[in-house]
Amino acid sequence: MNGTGQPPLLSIEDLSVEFGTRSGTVRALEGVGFAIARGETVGVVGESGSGKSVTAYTVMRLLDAAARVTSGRIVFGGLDLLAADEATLAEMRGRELSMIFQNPRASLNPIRRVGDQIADVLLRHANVGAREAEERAVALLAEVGIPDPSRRARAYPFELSGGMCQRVGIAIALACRPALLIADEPTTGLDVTTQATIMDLVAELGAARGMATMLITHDLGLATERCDRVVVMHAGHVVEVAETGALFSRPRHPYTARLLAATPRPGLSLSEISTIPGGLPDLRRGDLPPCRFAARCDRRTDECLTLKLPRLLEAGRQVACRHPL
Amino acid sequence: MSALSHARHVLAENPVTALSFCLFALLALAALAGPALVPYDPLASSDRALAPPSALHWFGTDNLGRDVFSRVVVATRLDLGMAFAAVALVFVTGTLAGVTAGFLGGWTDRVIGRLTDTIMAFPLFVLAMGLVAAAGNTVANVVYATAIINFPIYARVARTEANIRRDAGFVEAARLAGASTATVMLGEVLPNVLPIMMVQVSLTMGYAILNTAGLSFIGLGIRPPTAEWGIMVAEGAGYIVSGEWWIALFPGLALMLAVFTFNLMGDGLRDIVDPRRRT
Repeated sequence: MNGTGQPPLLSIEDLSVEFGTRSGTVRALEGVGFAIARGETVGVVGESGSGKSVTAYTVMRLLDAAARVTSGRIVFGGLDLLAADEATLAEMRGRELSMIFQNPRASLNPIRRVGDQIADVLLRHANVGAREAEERAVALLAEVGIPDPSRRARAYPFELSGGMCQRVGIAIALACRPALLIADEPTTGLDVTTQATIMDLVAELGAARGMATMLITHDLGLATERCDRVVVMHAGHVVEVAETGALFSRPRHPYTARLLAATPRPGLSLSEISTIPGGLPDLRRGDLPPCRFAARCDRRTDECLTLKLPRLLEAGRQVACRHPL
Repeated sequence: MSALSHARHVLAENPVTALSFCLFALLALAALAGPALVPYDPLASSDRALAPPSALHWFGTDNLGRDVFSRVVVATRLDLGMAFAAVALVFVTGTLAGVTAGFLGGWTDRVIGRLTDTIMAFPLFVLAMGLVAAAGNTVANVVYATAIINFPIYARVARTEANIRRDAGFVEAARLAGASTATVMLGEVLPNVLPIMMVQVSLTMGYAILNTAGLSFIGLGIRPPTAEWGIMVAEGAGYIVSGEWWIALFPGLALMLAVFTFNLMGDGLRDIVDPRRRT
């Protein structure tokens, strides 16, 4: 997939997910496919509702009861996650696969000490006793840069700042040295300086552990800085996958180009930032065109609305468009 | 930052809570050491029947010449003991049932929900009377009946509290860290529900005392001549019209004091068990 000849760590193939709702079936993901190699950082970008988080939750196999996977495979280290039983999954979660969240405070149990919450994961997966788990929890807190870790281990989440809570979240996620970390908008609620230190921390600890990262974000700037490759999603489709540099210097999909033009940059006044016309299509419609961006696209032809999308593949690149740039 | 120093801080901050804890200590002392403290044998009759309160008999004597003060103090153990047993029973069963219903949802929720609805469809005191009458007139059955009529309160509160935490971030995070459903329910959700249930304990404790005393008042459960507040009020009720008010008044006041104490303690207890106030 990435030219090294090794099988990827995570490979998502032709994944489709539907949600049964009272007002109809929402086709949240359709034919989603991309891969992540060992140690690689892959950004998944797209506007709200494009299916980024659904993809992550499908990988974790923690979708809502209303969701149904209608096609596809998710292969992680040789194991098909969609076919795995609950016991296997519980073994994998937190040990091989882990996740950090958008709202760090909400993802910690408010009435339990943070040290105990880190120790939980170690007790569950690392085959250690209570005392050792406690010691390692303190060591992890030190590793994620929390000053006075042995005192902080006894703190409750409400006693810590948002940035501190996210550090605790990272400590929990990395406690068992997972092979893949899914970071679902990990810096959304944090201020800019904290964002940078949190991302540095993830990158640094990830590199030290040889961990791959799936970074879900709507912040293109963050994706540019932090990712080896970027997956662009729109309305449940993967529209473009490319190396970060190539994607930003020469986007091929019209949606990617539009997204880049809509990203604020220094030296650009507000009037120069373009917007993308229209919104995401209603995914409950039965007559969605093959290209879900067509209604918003100025390169649209009749073929876009009728013929199946081509998957344009060139060196390390994937573009789902009939008329790429 | 021990729990003890925190408790001391809360007590200093809120004098009403401190008062309720003092009253509770008084009740606990009477319950634990009552028989050793009282001046007379609560069951022994004397020739000073229907004597009004005096230095010799602080609360007067009843129609058989028994010392009302001694009887009121000695009865504390039985009254609080029955109420405590009932509340402990319903605390465990009601909380677990409610948390399970609220967290798992689906048919578990429906079964437990209909069960609580059924219990609540009856006037609760009448239901307790019926249960004791049907199951047999014993102290154990009074305890079970009191637990059963309190079950809906516990199950419903626990269900709601568990249900709103069902999709909480930390529940999701725990699952993503590989925790099983049982672990998430008992290890993550239950601890969050417990502080609220502790407050329920204190509030329903008063109600449970009234209920057990009420059952004795109408002749269920405890039998005379045992010293018990409900029976004593019942025995004394007939003498109020003839002027011997003390026989019924003092056990009634003891009941009121006990209920008042536990209701006051509810708020204070919440402050102590809530870690968000533990700063």
